[in-house]
Amino acid sequence: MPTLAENQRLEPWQDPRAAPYLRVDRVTKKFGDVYAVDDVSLDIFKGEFFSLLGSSGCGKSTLLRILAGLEYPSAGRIYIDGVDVTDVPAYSRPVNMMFQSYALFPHMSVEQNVEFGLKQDRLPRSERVERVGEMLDLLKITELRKRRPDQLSGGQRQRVALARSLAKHPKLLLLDEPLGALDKRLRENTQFELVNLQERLGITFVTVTHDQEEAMTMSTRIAVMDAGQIMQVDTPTAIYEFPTCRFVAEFIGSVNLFEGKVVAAEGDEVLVETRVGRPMRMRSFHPLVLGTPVTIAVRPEKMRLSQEDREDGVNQLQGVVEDIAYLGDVSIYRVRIGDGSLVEMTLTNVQPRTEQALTWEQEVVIEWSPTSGVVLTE
Amino acid sequence: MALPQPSRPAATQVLSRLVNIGIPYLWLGLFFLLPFVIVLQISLAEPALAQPPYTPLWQWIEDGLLQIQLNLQNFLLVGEDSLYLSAFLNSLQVALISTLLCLLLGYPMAYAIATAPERLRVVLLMLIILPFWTSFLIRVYAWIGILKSNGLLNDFLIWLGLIDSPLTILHTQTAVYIGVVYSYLPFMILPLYANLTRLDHGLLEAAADLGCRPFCGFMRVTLPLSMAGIVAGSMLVFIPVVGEFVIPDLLGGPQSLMVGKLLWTEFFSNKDWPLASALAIVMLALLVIPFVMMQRWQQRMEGGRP
Amino acid sequence: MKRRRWPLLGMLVFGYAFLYVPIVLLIVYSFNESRLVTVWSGFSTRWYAELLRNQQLLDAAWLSVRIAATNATLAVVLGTLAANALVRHPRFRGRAGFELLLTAPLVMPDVIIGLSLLLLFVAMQQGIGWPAGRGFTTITIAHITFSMAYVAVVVRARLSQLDRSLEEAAMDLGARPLGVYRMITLPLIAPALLSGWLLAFTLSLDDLVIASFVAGPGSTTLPMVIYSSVRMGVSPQINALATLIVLLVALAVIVAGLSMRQRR
Repeated sequence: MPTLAENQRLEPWQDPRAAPYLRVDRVTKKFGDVYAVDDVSLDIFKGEFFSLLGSSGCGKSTLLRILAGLEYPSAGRIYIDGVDVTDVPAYSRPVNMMFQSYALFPHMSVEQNVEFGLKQDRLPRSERVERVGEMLDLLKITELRKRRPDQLSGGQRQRVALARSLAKHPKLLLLDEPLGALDKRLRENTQFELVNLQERLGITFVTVTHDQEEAMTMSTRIAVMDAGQIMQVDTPTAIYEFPTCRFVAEFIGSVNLFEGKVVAAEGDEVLVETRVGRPMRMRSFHPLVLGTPVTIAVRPEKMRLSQEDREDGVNQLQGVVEDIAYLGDVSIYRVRIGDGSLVEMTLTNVQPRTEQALTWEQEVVIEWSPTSGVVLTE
Repeated sequence: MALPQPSRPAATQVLSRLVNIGIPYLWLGLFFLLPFVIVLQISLAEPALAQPPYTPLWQWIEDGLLQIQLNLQNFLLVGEDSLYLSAFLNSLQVALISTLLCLLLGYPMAYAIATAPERLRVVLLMLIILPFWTSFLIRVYAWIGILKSNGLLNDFLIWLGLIDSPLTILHTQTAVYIGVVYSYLPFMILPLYANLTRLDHGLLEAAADLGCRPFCGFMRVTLPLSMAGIVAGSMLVFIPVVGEFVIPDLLGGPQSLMVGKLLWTEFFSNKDWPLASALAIVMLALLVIPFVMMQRWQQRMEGGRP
Repeated sequence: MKRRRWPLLGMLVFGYAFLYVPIVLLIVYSFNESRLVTVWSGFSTRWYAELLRNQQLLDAAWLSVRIAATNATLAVVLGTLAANALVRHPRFRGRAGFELLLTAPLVMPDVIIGLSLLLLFVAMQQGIGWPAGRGFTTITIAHITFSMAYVAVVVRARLSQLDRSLEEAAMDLGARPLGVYRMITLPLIAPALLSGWLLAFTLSLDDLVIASFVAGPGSTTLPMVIYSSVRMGVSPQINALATLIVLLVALAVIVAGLSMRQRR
């Protein structure tokens, strides 16, 4: 068990006394009439690996570009280490960015690319050479130093881009889809490497990604964005297990949603009458007034097969197996329930497939516990 | 890393605007737009035996009165005299027919280049551009030696036994057409090529898959999609040809009087600057419509880009 | 599709023959001994020798080259600025007018440009006393006015293909806007600047009509000399000159093409 102090060091956002390293204060960016970023506030702490997650066009890249100083916000301020940097142009911010396309200068060698930022700072030659060597070493690309970008593979380019953006020892590194241009196999390896690098250097990372798996694997915290707004900021676990709104619940992984109304409340549990007919008993973190319309979200893997069909039918659904998708480790079952809608359930394939109990057209009863889902109010 | 004085990024934007837009705008305004105003002004003056050879449009007469004299004589002359009228009609006819000829020859060529294997394409395209870089005057001149009555073409045809006595081609309308098509063909091919290479070959396959035979695929897919290239190429040929001077002067004869040559003659031989200006104004007025058409299609072509 | 290609190939061969046969004949007959250009009487380089002794022609060529080089340099500057404006400032007041002014010189008949600029120069001389007389300066100004439009087309194409994130990356790494333009943008559009320069150079070297309008009595350019000689009929000296020009241009284009390929 970590102590409270340890916990606060690992999770500084839990500590009310901790000062954020990067503060985004009510930032809005309008392009014409369109709000690309809509009144966003965020606190990011030193040493975090923070991800902005959302589908394309949700404003995550615009927000990142505002942090880099490449876009000027229509309203709001940006503070780094307590200093207002909103009016500081990109070329003087203590922030560096790794671009989605890597943006390696095609007319310069790997070495010259990495050296570029140091030259702008007018560092003496000896120091530049040393720093470049250090960066090339760190990313294991020393033997590529004389090559030009078009003579590099995708993975090598990514390393050069990373080396270049780290060369100036920024306090904050922005990464725009850092793994987006790599193929799947390479991406998985690089994920871990990136996290190791970040922990070793102690630099604060802010990344933008549309890949939820990537965000889940690498981040200390994730901000889920939609239509220019932040829907939820939390740890990967919390985002997955306890989404606070329907958008986040649906965006991350798969989920079964049941709409209904609160009919009873006892302790931290509520009883919800649903459209599918059967009542559901769920844990709720907030007290809810009777009659409140709510949505119950239950993840497919939290569902299980029931042995008996209880009389009150609480947290139970009857249905017929309609589709089975065999994925090897797990199988996904889609079950048609009473009101005609489909419920998705994943079961781990403990037994070889041939010996599995469930088959098409089979009548089943599904159930789940009051703590394995969340009650969403909107 | 010290933070310098805060500055809004807008400041460099303003400077960039001022330099990048301001300087070329000023240049074009002064040396391209303003001259037309002066041409219009002088087209309303009368020729005079003076330096410069036209009457001033306005002058101060006594008591500080400003007297303005507008003279529409030049425009009336252009409208009434059959010489000018037929020169204009002939210019439009030559421009129209040679545009069509360029299209007939240029489209298949552009299509063939666009569908050629990648490596060959670069060479073929280079060969289209190369003549464009060599002197226009000299290329027109080359045709004199070929087309004249004891020239290479006639010698060749007689040698083949196709004709007995030499044909008269030089100093006829035919020679003008040959010269124009020859000189302006690259202008037709290049925009067509640019357009046709962007064409998604999958569309043709989809059309074929849906039961469209190759000819139908061409008529219903390729041709409509290359319309922007056709318009751009046609206007790049049509507009300058209307005012062409060198080709009708060197290759054309008395029957093929074109307005560009007429303007030249009025200006240099007859020293009638106001009349030359009036001809320029009428020509400009005629070219406005095709020019606007070209601009429209160009914007559409750019808008269609990903 | 394959079997349908032969009529297309026929057109292609015909088209290229049409474009190149006159030039090839011109070159071949420049080595003809006879004064009668079209009657072959033996190989000779005497017309080249005579060409090099023709002082009037050499003077005109030197003037034309000076004008062309000045024009090309200034047209590249102005055309690049205009291309920057069009690519980097998608919205500004008067953009439509700007684009119009930049496209019009591409198609405007030479006689109109020539006449209107001459009238402007005359009016300016009367009004402000500049330019005093016509010659090198007026011809160069006239040539810049239409060749900058061509340069703008070439540079604009290259500039709009340029990955903006390269410049942003440079800025992110600490380069100021002007530094970004010098260290990143210019090197990357250099091939377009080179071909723009060559294009402006040849356009200027090639122009007869506009130069005839705005030239003064003492300034005769090469095309003007060629023209007055050609009007008299074909001349073997002009064939020799044409051959030299064609070779020079082919060389320049090949060099430019090779240097562009190497940069990629």
